[in-house]
Amino acid sequence: MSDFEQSLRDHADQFNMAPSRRVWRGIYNNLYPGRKWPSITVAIVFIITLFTIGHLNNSPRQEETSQLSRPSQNESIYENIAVNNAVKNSDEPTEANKTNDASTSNYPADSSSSLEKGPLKNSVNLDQSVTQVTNEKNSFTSEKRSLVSHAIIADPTNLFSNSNSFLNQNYSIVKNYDLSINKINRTDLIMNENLRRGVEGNRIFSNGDLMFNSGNSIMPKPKFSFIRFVTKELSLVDRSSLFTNAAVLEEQGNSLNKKSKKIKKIKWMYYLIPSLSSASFINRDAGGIRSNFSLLQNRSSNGMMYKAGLGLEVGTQASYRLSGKWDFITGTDIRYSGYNVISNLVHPTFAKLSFRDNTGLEYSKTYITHYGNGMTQNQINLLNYSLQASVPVGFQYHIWQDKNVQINLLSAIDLSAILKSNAYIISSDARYYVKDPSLSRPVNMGINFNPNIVLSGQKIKWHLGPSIHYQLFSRYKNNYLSKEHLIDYGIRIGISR
Amino acid sequence: MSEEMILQGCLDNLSTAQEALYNRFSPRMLGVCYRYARNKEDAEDMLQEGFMKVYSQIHQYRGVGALEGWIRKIMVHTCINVLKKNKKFSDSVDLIHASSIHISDANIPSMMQAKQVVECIRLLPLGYRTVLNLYAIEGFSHKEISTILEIEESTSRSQYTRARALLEEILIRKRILQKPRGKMRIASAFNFL
Repeated sequence: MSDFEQSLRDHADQFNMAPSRRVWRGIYNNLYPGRKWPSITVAIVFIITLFTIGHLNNSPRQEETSQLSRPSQNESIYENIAVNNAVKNSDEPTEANKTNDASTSNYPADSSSSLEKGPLKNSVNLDQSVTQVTNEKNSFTSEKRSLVSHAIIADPTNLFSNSNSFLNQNYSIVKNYDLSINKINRTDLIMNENLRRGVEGNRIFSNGDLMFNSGNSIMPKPKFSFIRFVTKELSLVDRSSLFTNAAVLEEQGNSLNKKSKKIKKIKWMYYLIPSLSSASFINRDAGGIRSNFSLLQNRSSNGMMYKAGLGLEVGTQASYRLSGKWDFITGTDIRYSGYNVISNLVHPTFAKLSFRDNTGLEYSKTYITHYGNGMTQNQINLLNYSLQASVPVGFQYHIWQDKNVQINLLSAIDLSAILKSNAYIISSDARYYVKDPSLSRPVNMGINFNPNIVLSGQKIKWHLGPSIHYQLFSRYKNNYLSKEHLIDYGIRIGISR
Repeated sequence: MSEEMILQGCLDNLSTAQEALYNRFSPRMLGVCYRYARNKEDAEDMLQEGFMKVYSQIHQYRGVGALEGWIRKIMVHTCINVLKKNKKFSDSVDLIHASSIHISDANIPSMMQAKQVVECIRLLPLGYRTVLNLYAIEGFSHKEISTILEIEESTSRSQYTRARALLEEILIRKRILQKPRGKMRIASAFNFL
């Protein structure tokens, strides 16, 4: 062996290169097919779990809300306490006398007229909710507002003596917390037959306040407390029994209250985005970098003739409330986007594509094609499309919020796996198009910008707004010189509960 | 992790040992593959295929000779098989007829970088490059090369002679190799560069 060969061998032996990560991944996947893409599997499982939990937790809540907003006569509902009325009625016992004798099963039919016209949504559904009882010493003034939405279990001894004394009484507030009545002993709470019997002979105000008749004068019996209902079953509560259960109620109320808060934080939205898809081109040829973009028919910087196509995106979005103004956004979606390349049919011929490897060396591949880059009578449209599944992650900012309208600004970045794609690429001499889907990048990233308005309907909320999605990396692999980024302009139409 | 432990782990089919083996030898082996391949992507494909063979045949390694040499042999054969399969080798082995190449015994300067040499080798047509790689770098005889590449032994010799001359020319043009004192004739086929 000559010196030349020896020297050549020595130098060649010293040469080494760092392989890319995909090589080991490919080897590993071949060695352990069962463990293929563990990270993707975990991500999918995570998303499905999140979706399931969110969905399961969300549904009963929504149902409850809708029931709260639509009270029926058959439902037992705490009346929205009308403090003013209570006070007023306490000062006007004659009004109370006008009412029927105490009927513990029916609320007076005309009671609504004498009730404070407070919103019924503040009522508590006993079938769906439970009350957390707290024994608080508060002044009327400080609690006036909360009393409006609370049912009161007051000590009736002083209730009707005068309004001021009532206002200063110790009273228990059955707060408007969510807690299933089924989870507590309902009998203990309201359906005490002994108490029911004790009510006989007593009176009920037209507004539902129960008065205890003691001879000719109205003398409330101190033994009992009461809850006012808009219900067919006006049930009394043994105060001692009620407070025996208070600890249980409070504990359950707290736990469910926490759950309720948690539920409130995750909201799900389902959407679709019809869009107009196009692409921006960056051509890295010998003449430097040239880029251009146009939504309508245009000739790109690398000579490609194209026009926008229709796209569609469907997906689901979970938003997690971070603070009053900010939501964390994630979800999953499937997006179809693409544009049309304007070509003409030619006789089969050879066309070359230029590439550049990682070391900077340029090389070319030769293809056989029958698609020319011209406009003749044989004009055809070649669809450059991609179908991708994405997992967006981002934030939503609440710009403005009203009772029925909300304006948000959403920005997200997404990781996409290309499920299917087609690629017609212009040849190096810009005379032909060649088809090589293998040049498509398997994974990509994109950014999404979506200002939206949320309109609250009776049952669902509508999310409407323009959506812009831009693909961050080129559709094609790095070794292809021209870069192409898909852009989707659409209108997002979403619904949520 | 020592080489014995890696070897034993691979025999026991442990993924950690397999990864350790890969991490230890893959840079050098990719350098080998790169000399045969058209580009890095092809080289990585060869490397992947080669390592799959290594893992599946590791039990055949009997400890005779260095493990690296054994893996390298597998890699070289893998590269040749890939080239044969893609028919790239047979298409390009006779592309150039350089019948009048002057062969010199010029020495490559010691400061020459390995990467530069490899890049120059890669500038050779695939057929020349393959024979040169097998003979000058891997140390196969012309008889072995003729068997591996399924060509005549004389063809292998002539291919190597031409490849070497062409490589010298490239090295001189790239100013990696000093021009010998005697007049050097440039191969007519060299004009393609």
